[in-house]
Amino acid sequence: MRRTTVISVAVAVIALAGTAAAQSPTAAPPAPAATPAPAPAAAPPPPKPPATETTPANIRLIAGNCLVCHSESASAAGGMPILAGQDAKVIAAAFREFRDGKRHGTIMPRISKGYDDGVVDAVSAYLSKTK
Amino acid sequence: MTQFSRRRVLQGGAAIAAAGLFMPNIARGASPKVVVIGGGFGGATAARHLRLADPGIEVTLVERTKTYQTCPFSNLVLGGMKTMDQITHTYDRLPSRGIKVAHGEVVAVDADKRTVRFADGATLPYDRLLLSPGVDLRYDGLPGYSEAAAEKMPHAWKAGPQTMLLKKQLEAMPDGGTVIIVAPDNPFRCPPGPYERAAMIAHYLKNNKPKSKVLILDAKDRFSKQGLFEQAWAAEYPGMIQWIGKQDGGKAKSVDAAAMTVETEFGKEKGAVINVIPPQKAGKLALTAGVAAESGWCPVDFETFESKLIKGIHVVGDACVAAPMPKSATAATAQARVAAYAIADMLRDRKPGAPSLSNTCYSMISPDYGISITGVYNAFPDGLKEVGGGVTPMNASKDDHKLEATYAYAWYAGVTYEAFA
Ligand SMILES: Cc1cc2nc3c(=O)[nH]c(=O)nc-3n(C[C@H](O)[C@H](O)[C@H](O)COP(=O)(O)OP(=O)(O)OC[C@H]3O[C@@H](n4cnc5c(N)ncnc54)[C@H](O)[C@@H]3O)c2cc1C
Ligand code: HEC
Repeated sequence: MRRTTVISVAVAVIALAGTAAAQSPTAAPPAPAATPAPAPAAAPPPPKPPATETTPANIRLIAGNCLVCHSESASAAGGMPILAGQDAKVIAAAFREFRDGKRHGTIMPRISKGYDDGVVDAVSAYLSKTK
Repeated sequence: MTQFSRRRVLQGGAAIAAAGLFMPNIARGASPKVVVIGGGFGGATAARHLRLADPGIEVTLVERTKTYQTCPFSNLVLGGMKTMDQITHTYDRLPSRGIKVAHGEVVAVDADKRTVRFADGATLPYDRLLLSPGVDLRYDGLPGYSEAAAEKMPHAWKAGPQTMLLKKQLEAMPDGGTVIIVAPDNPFRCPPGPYERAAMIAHYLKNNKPKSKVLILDAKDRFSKQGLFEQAWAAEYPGMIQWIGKQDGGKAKSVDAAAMTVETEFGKEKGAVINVIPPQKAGKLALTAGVAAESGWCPVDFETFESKLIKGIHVVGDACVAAPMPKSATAATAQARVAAYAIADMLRDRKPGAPSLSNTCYSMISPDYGISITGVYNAFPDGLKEVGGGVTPMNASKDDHKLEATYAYAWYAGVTYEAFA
């Protein structure tokens, strides 16, 4: 059996192929890299997210998504910051800094791209009041 | 069980509705019944949020087993970083959240009468039904593989005895042997799972049988977080893990459990241990209930996760079609919350809105090395779309990889707390 060295080529292509296509079983595969793959720094910014509904129900759902990592149990096991009880303005400001590339983080810079200002303020207010 | 009185209420309701009077979904004053089948990540989380959404809802969670071993972190059991006990959860605390827990196997759903039937013949009525049955393995999807063959070539794609079997085989194999992982085509449960498994098996081998190797024979041309995985394998386990994609002949044509071989277009590969991850489909109950399409998966509406095939039945988790969300535990819990709040609304004749969902999958490479993929998804009229997210940057620092390994533990604690505590 051939043990090829395709791997090193694949690394470059796949790293830049974008997450949706790489994850999605049904989405169209990423376009073949006919043009040389751009350097990571030159990767295009993700499309601007369309407005998310800020109904109370949806804000509660979004907060639920945050709390998977920001609950007390998660924090106790692996040191994620607890948001409950923090000032809503502080939460929102930190969130925007991640989103705007002004604050380093392992994952928040990526997550924060999915939410616009209206959602950030509403979710921050909600989270600050959770126990 | 107040089965009979409940039936009468429903019949009464039907009679009034037939007479043309306004009638909400549920008779006023009665407490609506929601039955949730499947006590995995999707089902257990949905049950919790149904009660949070509306404590007036009577919620029954039906699960065939008394304990639940999580697939998440089962690869860490193989790597020696977790024990089976540490990934085993019970349903003991759910009654204190107002959830009735019924252990048994549901074998049929009558969508007209709105009842589910257990293997022993007992029935349970519902106003709305939520299914999170997970996946079933398609033993017909790979020639030579079968339930019997899985006793020699474990899939370990449902955590539990199969995980322990694979672990014992790793412990028994000689140093210098090859562990083969046969990976399936999309869609399947946990897209990064086979590649995290390769790392965790390499972690065990590096510490115990350093001359051994891991060979991944893949039915596809690329895989989730591929660049990151290959970078991480090279950093932590140099020369130990080899991946062969479909374009290079990696797709398994058949397996032979007696000979311990995998056949590809280039011949037969012999393995000291062979882990076959076969193709999958929605759990059998989804098929018998009639909510699965020909693809084997369940199409749903993304505002409610109600089946597109049968009204009154919602499907979340691995069983539903929710691309571009992956089939993951985090995704299942996000979908469960959407379905729970939508069901609460629908039972009270309120209209649910367009939700926002999210997913995160951490993959553990070694105790000091984690990577992740995350996504935020909004429901649009034409489907779910990713509006934010991404994978760990390729140039992430050593410190950040170490932090991600720690955060993976936090995620696990959070997601299991939400479902089982
Ligand atoms: C090796 C591996 C690693 C993984 N790692 C991760 C990870 O790190 N992060 C992540 O997010 N995801 C991970 N996953 C994916 C995750 O396990 C699944 O996506 C998740 O379990 C899906 O939840 P579910 O509710 O759809 O199904 P399940 O969790 O499988 O739950 C289904 C439940 O329904 C019950 N059931 C089914 N039919 C019936 C019936 N007829 N009657 C009664 N009970 C029934 C079953 O017993 C089961 O308990 C991993 C998967 C694997 C295989
Ligand atoms: C997958 C886990 C995860 C999810 C989901 C998540 N976070 Fe975070 N969050 C983190 C981690 C980890 C950090 C530390 C910074 C980093 O490494 O990115 C953090 C940091 C933060 C901080 C800075 C807090 C401080 O005190 O320093 C804020 C604010 C925040 N997150 C808000 C949110 C909000 C709002 C959501 C939901 C929209 C959310 N997070 C979802 C993991 C998560």
